[in-house]
Amino acid sequence: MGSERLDPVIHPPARLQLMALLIDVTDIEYAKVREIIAVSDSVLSKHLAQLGDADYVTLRKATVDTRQRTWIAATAVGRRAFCGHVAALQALAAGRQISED
Amino acid sequence: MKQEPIDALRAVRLTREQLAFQARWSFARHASVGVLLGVMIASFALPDGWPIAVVAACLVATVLIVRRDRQRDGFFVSGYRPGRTLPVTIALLVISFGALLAAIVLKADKGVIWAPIAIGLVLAVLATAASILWERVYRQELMAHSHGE
Repeated sequence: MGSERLDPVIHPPARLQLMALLIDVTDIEYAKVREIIAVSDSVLSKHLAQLGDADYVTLRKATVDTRQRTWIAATAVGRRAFCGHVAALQALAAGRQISED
Repeated sequence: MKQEPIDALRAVRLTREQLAFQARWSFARHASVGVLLGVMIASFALPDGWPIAVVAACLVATVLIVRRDRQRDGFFVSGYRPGRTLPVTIALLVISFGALLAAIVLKADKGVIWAPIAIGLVLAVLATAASILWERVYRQELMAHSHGE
């Protein structure tokens, strides 16, 4: 588990759910993410762009059966940030203070 | 004040539980792991040159299985991922290398030509069981109350 640090990039609920999904798979298809976290295309695209800007996720396009699909994977930086964010949430939920750096 | 992190952790847990619900693979998928490993070892019973061809074919089959996993599930989970599943993966690797060594030594040094086939059969069963165990451990990890528990 990484150090306890609330991450403003991961803080919004949809992005937290997105990272929670990505952390335990190698990669996952865009449509599957949309299905599991139940958000629209536009909302998912917006959150992915913000996670991508922070270097927390990578996107890969692949053509399968003549259809182009987008595959999403968490980066090592994103994984560390997620673990630190969850550790901070656990600390706060337990009533502990976390350092602000 | 404490409610927000509790709600956020709950959202994380529910998302992981949904993934756990979808992370189920058929017996045939588990058996394919066993068959591929077993066939690779058993191929050492064949004359020189053939084992390399069989191992290459098994590697191609592995790539095709991974591709099919992605098409069918919409996600892929590497067997080498860190976490609670890693000891299962390492144990299977150790057993597989042991099986490979035993097959080569028994055939080449002891002249037991059928040894790779027998060892391959045993490994096929063990690897299938390991694959089933891996899936269970993976789901248990996802169902743990929060990440890192």
